[in-house]
Order: sequence, then C-alpha cells, then structure tokens
Amino acid sequence: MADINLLTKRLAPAGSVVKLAKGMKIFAVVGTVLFFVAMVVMITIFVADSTSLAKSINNQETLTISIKSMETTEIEYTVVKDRVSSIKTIFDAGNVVDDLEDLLSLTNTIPKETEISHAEINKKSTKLSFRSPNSSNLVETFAKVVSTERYKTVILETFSYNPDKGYIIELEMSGS
Amino acid sequence: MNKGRKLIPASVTVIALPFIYVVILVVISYIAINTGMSKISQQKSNLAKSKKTESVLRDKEQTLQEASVVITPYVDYSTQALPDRNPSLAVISQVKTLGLEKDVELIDMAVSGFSEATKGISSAGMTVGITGDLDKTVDFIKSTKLLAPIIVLDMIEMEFSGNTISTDLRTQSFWKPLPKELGKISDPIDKLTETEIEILDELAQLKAPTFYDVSPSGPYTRGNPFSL
Repeated sequence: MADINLLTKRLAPAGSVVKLAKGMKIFAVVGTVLFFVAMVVMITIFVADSTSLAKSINNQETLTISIKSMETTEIEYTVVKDRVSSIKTIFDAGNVVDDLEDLLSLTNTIPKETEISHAEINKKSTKLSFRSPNSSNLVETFAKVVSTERYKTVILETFSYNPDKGYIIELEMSGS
Repeated sequence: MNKGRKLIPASVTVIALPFIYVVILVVISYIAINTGMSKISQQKSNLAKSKKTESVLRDKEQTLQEASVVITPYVDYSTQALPDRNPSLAVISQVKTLGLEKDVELIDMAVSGFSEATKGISSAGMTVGITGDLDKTVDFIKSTKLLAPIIVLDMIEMEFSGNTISTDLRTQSFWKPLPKELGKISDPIDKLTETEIEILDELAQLKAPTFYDVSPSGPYTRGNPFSL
C-alpha cells in the first residue's frame, strides 16, 4: 500500500533540517553519556582526594602528638643548634693561636745565631723583631723568611746596624 | 489564512526539541565541569599543603627521635662552651688552672671591657700576662683552645729575654642568651650539618670549668635564739 501524505510539500520539514535534527539528537545522546562519564570521573577524583586529605590530617594529628611528647628533646635540640651555630660564627672569626703555629714553624728554620727579641701576632699580621750578629747570618735568615710559603707579604719595617749588636730588623708579615 | 500563519513551521518543530536539549546539556555541562574542576583543584591544593605539612612533621619527628639518643650531653658541652651569661669568672678560673698545669707564671689578668651583641653574641675582653720558657708558653697558648667557655686570642705579644719569654695575651670570651621560644610545632627543624657535628665533637673534648654559677651569699634572716 502506498504512503499517503495529505500535507502539501510546502508544510513538510526540509530534508537538511531533518538531517540537522538527527545530528543534534546523536550529539545530545553522546554528550549526555560523556557528561555522566565526566561526572563519575570527577566525583571519583574528588572522593579519592578527600580520603587522602582526611588520612593526611589524621597522620598530622598523630605526628603532632608524637612531637609534643618529645618536647624536652626539642628544647635541647633547639639550644644545641643555636649554640653550635653561634660557636661556628666565633670560630670562623679566627684565632691567632693558629698564626702562632705559622710563626713557630718559621722560627724553627732560621739560624740559631739569629736572636729573636720580639713577636707580635694579631689577626691582620705578624711582626717579628730579631738581631743578626753578621751579614751572612742576616742573608741566611732573610732567605728562610722569604722562602717560607706561610706568608705572602713580608715588609721590612726597620733595619738598623749597631757595631756591638749587629743588624737589628723588624719585619711585618701577613697573608698566611 | 490567519490560522495557517499561526502554525509553527514543521522545520522548526523538528529541530526545536534537539536544539533545546543540546543547549541545556552544554550549559549544564559547562557549569558542572567548571564547578567540579574548581572543587577538585582546591581539594588538590589542600591535599598538597597537607602532605607538605605532614612531610615536615614526619622529618621533625624522625630528627627528634634520632636526636633524643645523643642530644643531652651535647647540651652540656655547648652551653659550657658558650654560656648564657658573662663567663669572665669561669674564664679567669680556667686560665689560672691552666697556668698551674702548664707551669707558667701568671703575672696579671684583667677583664678589659665588654662588646655589644653581634648576632646575639656578646663578648668580654681580657688581658693575660705570663712568663715562662718558650715550650711552656707555647703549650699554654695552644691549650687555651681546649678550654670551656671558649676563649679566642686576638693578639699575642712575646718579649724574648734569654730563655724567658714575657707574653701578653688579649683574649675574648663569649656569651649568648638562650633561645626563648620553640616556634610552631609545624615549623621545620634543621638537621645538624656535618660541620656542626664536627664542632660538637670538638666541644666534647673541651675542659669544663670546675665551677660555673656563683650563688650570692646572704643576707639571711636570723633565727629566733629564744625559740624552744
């Protein structure tokens, strides 16, 4: 039996519109499915994060109780940490006892006839006064002073000669 | 004819329902996904903060547990080396004892002024005059590094006269008030560095003073001699 359509062709929907409507329906179905999938994924992530957060907060409370129970240790640790960092600052500022070692290692090498009369060590430099009985001793003493690697700068502060005492020298050394 | 004009065209009827559905779906999806992502993002941020705090607390707990085994003697060593009050009396006592031990003669000792706190550390200057032969003098000077409270030598002046050496030393001793608060429980705690542990081991070798606190004497209330 043939289809009978009593409507005029003018009143029937256009073919392109019907296709568009079909496309929209498919889009709506697929979109709805995707929407629900997205909702399920988001809710799952949110619930998982909420569970992790609750667990983390619970762990924090346990750790806080544990740390509070060690308050005496924390006080001691804070004191030690504070003291030791300050002591490091003090040590870093230097101590001339170390420079005395340098001076002694120099004086041990110079000739025995050289007579040391005065030494002054401060944080900037070391001053050394000595007497050499003769010029050969003086040359040897200077050679030892100059050849030492402990002092980068050696300044001859005073140089005098006395026929009875010999050569009287004062050096200022630094940069050890 | 008027009735025909009022009729909705068939094309509109066919497309209207899917169109409205799609529009509603898009709007709802936009709002839901936007809100959902914002909530998830906020939750993730809270979780990250919480995990970080937890990590700090866990490190702190572990550090304190490890420290609890060894820390107590270090408190003594470090507070003897750097006391919380002016240690000049203890330093004088230590230097006198060291002089006797090393067989050098102490000529004079004088506290020579105080300096203001730098990084919370205050210092007291002291001059010490000694005489002795070279070996004993050098031994005495080197041994000052082994005393607690810590003494730092700023200047050494030696006058040689035959075998006897007169030496003037300019020293500094230090003190620093103890910390007054612990900070928040969630504040991180720094572990002791290798250098700091080495310093603590050095401090353990220092010779502690025989006395530290000098308690004031009197005035005391007199008892009633007639009470029976």
